[in-house]
Amino acid sequence: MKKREHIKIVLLGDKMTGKTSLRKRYFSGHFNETELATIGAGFDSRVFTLQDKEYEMEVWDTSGEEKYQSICRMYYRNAAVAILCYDVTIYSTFQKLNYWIGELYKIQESCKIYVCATKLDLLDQYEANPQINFVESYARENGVKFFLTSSKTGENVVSLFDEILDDYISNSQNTPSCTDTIKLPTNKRRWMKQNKKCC
Amino acid sequence: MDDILDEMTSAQDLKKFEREYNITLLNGNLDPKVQFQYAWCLVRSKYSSDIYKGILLLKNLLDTSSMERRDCMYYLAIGHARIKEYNKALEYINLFSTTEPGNTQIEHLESLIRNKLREKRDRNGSLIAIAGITSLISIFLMKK
Repeated sequence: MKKREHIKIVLLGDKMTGKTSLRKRYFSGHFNETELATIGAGFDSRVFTLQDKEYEMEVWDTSGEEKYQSICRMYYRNAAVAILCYDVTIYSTFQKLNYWIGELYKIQESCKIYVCATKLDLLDQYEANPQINFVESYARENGVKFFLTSSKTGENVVSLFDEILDDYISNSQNTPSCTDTIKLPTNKRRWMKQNKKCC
Repeated sequence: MDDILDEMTSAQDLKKFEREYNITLLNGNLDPKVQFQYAWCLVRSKYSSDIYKGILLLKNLLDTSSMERRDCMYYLAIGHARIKEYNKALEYINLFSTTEPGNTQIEHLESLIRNKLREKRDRNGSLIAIAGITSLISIFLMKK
């Protein structure tokens, strides 16, 4: 029997930033306009075979509610990838990204981060806050990839997960252990320091 | 991991939240959030005795605190399902039918519990069938 490799992905971000909608759009192709707050964490997985090797992608979407923040850290353990979500129109949800990164690095330093601005469809009516080019610079400066998605229309949702899987697989093919070798953002130490100060 | 009923709290995490709970309990200022976090770890423990304790703590929260009822009800369903009390688990799931009809997270948990219940019934059915066949063979051999 082939040995299956598990790829654990966690979705982090403030409440109501669309983490569950992103997971559901990717796994089921559906969108629910009135998605309720996640209790604890939601989960989906998919098995696929590539170049004769079997993988299982496990996606954990953790509640953004305050009462779950310390217990949901357990989900970060052994995560290879974290998708940090913020609402493209709400600045405070973007500001919280550094907090989530700090929390993540306390548990799983080797995790590879992707920043995802959700609710792209809202830009038809509202302004992006902060401006997209500002977030692009932020991502570049921190060595993380940035995506704009809409779970409502499905825009970029599949490409986000495809790119994550491509990066993971190309990385793991180069080395025996992916978690030991994923390149960390250049200013990870700064995030960790900032977080220690605030706690 | 196959589903959310299989995920478990590590002994280390359980100890951490237990310590926090005991400290607040001793200080006489028990915070419902701390109680909920400890109960959350307990119902996801690999030991049945922990799960029973977690269920008691969640029931207490449900009766006495302002903690959101839906969180307690959801993890009470998980706790009961993990000790194979599937009918009790479904009772908590049913409480959502009036407050949150169509909540897919609840529907997903319900389908997991119903599958486990079906498996348990099939297993029990097979055992009864085997016991019946064994009895018939014994009777037949005795008559001989």
